[in-house]
Amino acid sequence: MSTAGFPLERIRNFCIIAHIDHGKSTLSDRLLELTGTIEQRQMTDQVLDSMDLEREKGITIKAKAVRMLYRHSDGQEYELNLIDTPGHVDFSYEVSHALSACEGAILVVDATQGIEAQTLANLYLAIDKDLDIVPVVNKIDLPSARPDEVAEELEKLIGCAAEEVLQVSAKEGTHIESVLPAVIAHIRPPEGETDAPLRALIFDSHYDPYKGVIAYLRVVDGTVRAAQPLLLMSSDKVFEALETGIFHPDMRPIDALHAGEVGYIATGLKTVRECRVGDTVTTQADGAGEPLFGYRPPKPMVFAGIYPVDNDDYQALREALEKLQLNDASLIYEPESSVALNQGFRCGFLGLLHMEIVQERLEREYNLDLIATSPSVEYQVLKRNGETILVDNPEELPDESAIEEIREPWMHITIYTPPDYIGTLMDLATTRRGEYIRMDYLDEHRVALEFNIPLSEILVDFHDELKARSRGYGSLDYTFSSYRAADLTKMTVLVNEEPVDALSIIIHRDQAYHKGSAMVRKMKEVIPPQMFKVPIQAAVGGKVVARANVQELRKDVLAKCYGGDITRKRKLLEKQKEGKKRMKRVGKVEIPQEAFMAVLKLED
Amino acid sequence: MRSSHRQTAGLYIHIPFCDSKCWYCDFTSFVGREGVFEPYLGALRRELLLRLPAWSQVTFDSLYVGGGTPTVIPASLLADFIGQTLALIPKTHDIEVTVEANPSTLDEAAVRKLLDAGVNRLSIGVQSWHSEELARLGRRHSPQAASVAIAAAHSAGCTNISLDLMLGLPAQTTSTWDETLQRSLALQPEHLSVYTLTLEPDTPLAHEAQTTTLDLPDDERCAELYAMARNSLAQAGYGHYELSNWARRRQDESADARYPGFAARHNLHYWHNERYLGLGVAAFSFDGLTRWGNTCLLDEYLAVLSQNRLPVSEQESLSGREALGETIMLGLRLLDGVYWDELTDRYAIDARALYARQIAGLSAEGLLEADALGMRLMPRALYVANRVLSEFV
Ligand SMILES: Nc1nc2c(ncn2[C@@H]2O[C@H](COP(=O)(O)OP(=O)(O)OP(=O)(O)O)[C@@H](O)[C@H]2O)c(=O)[nH]1
Ligand code: SF4
Ligand SMILES: [Mg+2]
Repeated sequence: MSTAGFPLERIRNFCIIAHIDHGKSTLSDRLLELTGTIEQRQMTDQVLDSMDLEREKGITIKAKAVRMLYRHSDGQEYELNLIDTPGHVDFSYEVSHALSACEGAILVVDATQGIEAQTLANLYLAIDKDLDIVPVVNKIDLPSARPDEVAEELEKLIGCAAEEVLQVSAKEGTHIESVLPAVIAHIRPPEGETDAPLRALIFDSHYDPYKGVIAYLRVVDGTVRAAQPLLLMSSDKVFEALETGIFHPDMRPIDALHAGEVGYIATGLKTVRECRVGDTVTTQADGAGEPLFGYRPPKPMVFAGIYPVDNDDYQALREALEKLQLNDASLIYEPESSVALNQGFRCGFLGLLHMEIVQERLEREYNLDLIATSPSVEYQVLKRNGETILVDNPEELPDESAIEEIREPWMHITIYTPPDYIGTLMDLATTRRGEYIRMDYLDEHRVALEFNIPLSEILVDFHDELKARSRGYGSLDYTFSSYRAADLTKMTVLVNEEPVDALSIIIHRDQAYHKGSAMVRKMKEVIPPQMFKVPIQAAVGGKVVARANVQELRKDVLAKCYGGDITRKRKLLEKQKEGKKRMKRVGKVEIPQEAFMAVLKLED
Repeated sequence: MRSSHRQTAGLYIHIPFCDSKCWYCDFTSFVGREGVFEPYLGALRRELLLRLPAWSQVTFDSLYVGGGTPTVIPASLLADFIGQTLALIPKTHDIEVTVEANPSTLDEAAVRKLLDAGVNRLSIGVQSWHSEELARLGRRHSPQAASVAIAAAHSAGCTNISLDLMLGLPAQTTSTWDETLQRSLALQPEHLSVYTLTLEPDTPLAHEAQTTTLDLPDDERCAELYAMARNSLAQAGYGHYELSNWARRRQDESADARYPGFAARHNLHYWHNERYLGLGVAAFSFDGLTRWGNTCLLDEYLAVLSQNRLPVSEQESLSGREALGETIMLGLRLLDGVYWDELTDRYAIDARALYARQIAGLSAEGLLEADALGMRLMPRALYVANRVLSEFV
């Protein structure tokens, strides 16, 4: 591949942003095909969604960069650096990192759904960073598509001419050839000086066992090469890159990355703490004076402890978290211990999907078996002595006598919906303690409903319920609003007479009986049958509010094992064992992961 | 397992024929195929000849002819076949030769022919001494037939008899089960097996269970019946050596022998996860590395062997670690349990360390006893053995 460096005016750096499922990854597929970046026989649907988890869930989790070479109608070859981004709210930090490596964004909108919450949220992120926007209406092949109307919505939103909005079908390839010319025409080339001191922004990273930390770079000024002393400006760490390269989308080494380009360097660094997403790379000699703006770490919404099922895996978990954090800069963690679960880490997540993905990735990528404790939001506790503390672990709630007031986080939410569903969505928000603020007609198809609502009420099921009530057309965006006082208390759960700290939750006092009995009922369902009688109790303020007994283990006096068919016997036993992953022994009883998550689903 | 390097193995021969089909049966057995008895025995012989070269370094110390109901084959035909088989295989001088029989198919003359051919052990499917229980299983024989058959076996000179009994039968009560145990013990068999009835899908009994109430004893009741068996058999001097199996000691036997003298040598090969060669329809084999199973289709079996090809339909090989797990899963069925040194010798894996967490957990629950020598089920675990065994697969 050419290394002389493309003239800047023939480079475009752009990402593809949209609401979830509007077709970003599918559009990327078509662009990769069109430019011949990926050979036909290696093509799969959503080829950039390369993680197993992404394929299983059918969503993008990680932003992915890829370099394409494109011969334009002016006869010139262009270097196009594309970044496909995730659409789910829990991963919007991925979008904001990707945006800062780009000058422009393709904004994809589903022709049947129109503009939705993350269309707006991601668009505003891009506008904030002063990016050029290329609007594209996708899925025009669907019978219910209304591309012209959606193009008009876009005109109102971003002020482009509706006729200029591209209308494509990423799935069928219709009008795909119009996309890259629009990118070249409407997105400005990068600025920056190849001869200036090196400044490159680390916008993502991952850990490679052989090459150490791989830092994904957007070079702003200068040139970066292997075997040249480099400096990480915020950690002051000096190192030499083992390799520089580009994403194709797999990593391909090249000689150098120049101003305006996107690629990676293999840092060789084995201690992951020294290399952080958001840091600026420069040369040790004659380096840049000022670092680039970094990233503000996002604020976690939910917190939970993560513990190894096997206590011996604690160190392995620590290393896994460090390495995963490289690839997921929004993950935060600190050590914590639990009487029931031993040594683990308190982690902060951007939402429950994020929590689920982190646990899955730790388990799959680092071969661990883990238990996550009941998720909690972060409470503010005003103590009698005037001190205010933040509590994200129910176990850290001070004694009631020391508490003046507990405050819970409230969110400002905006629900976007077609007008037909206003009634049912109002009802949904108000039954969850939501306070109506206002309603705006964005156009005839779209209404924005705003509420203030406690975070704990929207954490679980709210989004699913919203989708169900609006036949999939409603969408949701939220930001933190304020802390408000509430009559809250801690509910503890005792298994076999022993309190299991990791099962504690903070609840509203007037829900104690209701939640307590729902809790023990749920525990009884999910804790596997035991040899002996095991009581489960829920207690508030030392008083038992509900109890139940775990089922006793089914006797299984053995059946005849026929003529040496040991394989069948083993498979039957394997099936019995299947359900045994993600179980943590507490005293005599094994508690499965579902038990810790049960607190989220106490309503049914 | 001390015997892991021993070059002995078991030979299993499956005879897939019965007079009628019992209502709970999902074993591979066919009714009304008398016409293929001889071709089938011929095919078995061919399979044996195809297999023998690869098994030439082993010595067989047991031959088990099971089914189905081997004794539906006319006695002289079956005896000839067994005699010929024994003549073909490398064997120990005291090879255990067992034939499975149903009470209604045994008479003194038949037993005599079998003994003359080298058979020295009979396993008789009594199941119950209650005519009503037998009827509800669709078993053809009556309790009287069982007494007659056993008496015939004794008078023909058979000195090693095993009886199969079943618990968990429709309408079975503690008193009918007690009667079954007592009447069995009165005959002083050398060996007893007690299995639980399971409703296998697509059997007439399973269909019946869907439409009517079968009055099956529940799990608790089965555990109670099993406890009764443990007590009665222990009192009568039988050693409980495997979850479902009891045996008498031999007179000359030392008191600290690992298993009672009349323990089924053939089945010990299974529980020790040792080699066995299985011949016939739906027979399984294990050569120490690979397991395979033969086709379940009688006509296919005959056709394939008529072309001198092997009738294998499934096969799997296990890694060392998987094989270790399997050896533990099988070995823990033995009340004597498994021994660390034997496992290490055989797999070069420290099983105790590998399963430290499982062992600690099961010990805490009082299901497993582990010490410097090995590990074994605790008495309470006998009722929930799958719970323990599943931790190791
Ligand atoms: N009919 C039709 N379906 C499409 C089109 N583009 C994408 N899809 C389908 O829409 C679904 C989502 O597509 P993706 O490309 O994964 O969407 P995405 O925006 O990358 O989703 P996230 O990354 O999870 O936010 C898939 O089932 C695609 O096959 C299109 O043009 N027409
Ligand atoms: S005798 Fe045995 S193999 Fe034959 S039908 Fe009855 S249970 Fe099945
Ligand atoms: Mg995607």
